[in-house]
Amino acid sequence: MKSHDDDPQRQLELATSVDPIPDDVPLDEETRALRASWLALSQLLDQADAGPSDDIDETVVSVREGAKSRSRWPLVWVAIAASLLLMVSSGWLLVRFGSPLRQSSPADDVAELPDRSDPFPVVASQSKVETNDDEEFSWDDSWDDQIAQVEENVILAGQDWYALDQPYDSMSRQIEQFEGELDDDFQDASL
Amino acid sequence: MSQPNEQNSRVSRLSQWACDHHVAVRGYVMGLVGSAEIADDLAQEVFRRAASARYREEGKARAFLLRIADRLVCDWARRANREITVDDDQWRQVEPESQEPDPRVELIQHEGQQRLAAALEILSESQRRVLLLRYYGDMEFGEIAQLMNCPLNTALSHCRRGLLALRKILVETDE
Repeated sequence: MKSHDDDPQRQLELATSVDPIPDDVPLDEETRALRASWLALSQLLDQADAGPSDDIDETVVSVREGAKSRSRWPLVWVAIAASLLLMVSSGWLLVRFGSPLRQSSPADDVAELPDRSDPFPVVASQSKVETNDDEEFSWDDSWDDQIAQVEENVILAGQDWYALDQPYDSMSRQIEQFEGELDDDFQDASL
Repeated sequence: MSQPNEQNSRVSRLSQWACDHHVAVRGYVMGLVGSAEIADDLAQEVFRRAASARYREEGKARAFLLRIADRLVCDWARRANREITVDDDQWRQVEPESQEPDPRVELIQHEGQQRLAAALEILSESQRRVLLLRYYGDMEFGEIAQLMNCPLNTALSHCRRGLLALRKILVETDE
């Protein structure tokens, strides 16, 4: 019996041949063993591939044909229409309510407070410091008047914009503390 | 004027390839990735890339497709960063349910899938690639070595060791 050890490629080509090996071709023991393994594997792979072939072939071809006829124009028109709608609604909101940034800026609102000619009576009654409403807030005022004015405004802001009251409250506490220290200093000086 | 003709010839060639080689391509990918869903996706990608790739008609369309499939599987495995393993449950998905299932046929198929999954699982990735390329592509070992970018003797060694390993699980258990 001829051995295939000297030509492993020939041995494996015989062992893994798809076609049946003629009887007159001698095979050594190892080649027969390899051939048996190959046939067993081929049988299992053949069984596994037996099922889905026809359906999948039709699916692959039909999917490609469907993809060829697909158009993107409807998506483009929908995107344009959505953009126009958004622009129109944004413009209407701007005209109707003005700039939302200006409305939502607390710094602008606080800055406007001293310009109001009519201070809120509730805050005026709660104020410990007597202030003259006719006088305009000016840098020539004394420290106490300025502090009292700012405190009033801060209290106003804390009441009207309760959502933003935390920073105003902390500022108010600091001002009260500062005012108390000034009072203590004045009392010490007068004594 | 030549573009529509070229496009038509590509489409017709692709349809012919899908009919002739889809089972082989999908089976090869399935044997490597072990998941029916991934195998379907990758097989579809193989034909998509084949449609756009340059191809010279030399009568080796299946080898051409399997070469693309092999690269895609390698890329997939690199991205997934994991060993290619075959799961028993995933192998069961390879056979779609027929309209009127015969319980005996189903039982035989199920046992076959289990044995196939177990057999492929004991092989290394290189052994699987060589054996599956040889089975599905009917490729020469020189072509397989070239595709795997390894020496011919290495490809032969993978094939021989793989078959010897399969003997223990497929042949000796029957004896």
